[in-house]
Amino acid sequence: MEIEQLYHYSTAEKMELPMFSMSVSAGLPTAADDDIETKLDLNEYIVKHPASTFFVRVHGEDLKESGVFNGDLLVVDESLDPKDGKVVVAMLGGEMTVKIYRVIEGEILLESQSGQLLPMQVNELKSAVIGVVTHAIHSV
Amino acid sequence: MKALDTKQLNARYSFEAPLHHAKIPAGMKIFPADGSVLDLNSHLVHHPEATFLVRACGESMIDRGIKDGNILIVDRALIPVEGDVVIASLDGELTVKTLEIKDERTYLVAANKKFLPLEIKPFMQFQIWGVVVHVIHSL
Repeated sequence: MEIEQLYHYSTAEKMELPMFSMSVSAGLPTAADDDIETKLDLNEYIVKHPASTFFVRVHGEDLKESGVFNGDLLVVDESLDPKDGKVVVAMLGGEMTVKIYRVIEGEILLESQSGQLLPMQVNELKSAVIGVVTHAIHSV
Repeated sequence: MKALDTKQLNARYSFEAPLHHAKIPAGMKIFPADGSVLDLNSHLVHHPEATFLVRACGESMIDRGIKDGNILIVDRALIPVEGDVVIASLDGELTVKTLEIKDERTYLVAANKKFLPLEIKPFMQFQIWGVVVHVIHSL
């Protein structure tokens, strides 16, 4: 999966949006406070570490099964340690790319599009993995 | 459902992200000094007063990228049109489906082959709450 554009995180104003659950009974979601589960600010909810978060717009179909679609905006946190199965942004051969981080029998690998595995030395990996993808945001 | 005037709402609520005032965190491992900045609120929400969030449940919209547990951003200021993913209440139950209109008939259609399209009949209690504009998927 390729990266089309990179954005730094920024916040303007706080914006609290009402959040409902799908189980609420019929009726319009007006200010009926009983039905409001909670109020969320999307920046606060999605970005846990503002100083180490950035966004990438991605291109490609290969990570569909992980829930990442063509054209998605990915939220990437540099402060998180990658774990097996996590989607990560990595720098490979001078290019930024999105892969799945794998630990198989103690060996660390980056899984690409076709299920192809790129074995990596630990020292290589430390510099290769830039951050862990925490959310994928798609437009409907 | 009370139709809202989209243009009016746009004029009232749209605002530009203050690009030149944005603070760029120092010490990023990746760099573009001239990189753009993005504020999720202004990027994802165009009509703050008319927007709400819903946590989706079920797999009926999986082919449109909506998975169980995802948060949906729903805009009530948009007039739903054919092909939109909408939050609707049908006989007292909330559902997320694609709105289809064919030969003056209205259908709610799942994005999952396991579900059959449902035609909205006049005797049904049917109301559209809003149009789903973005899906937030936690990885």
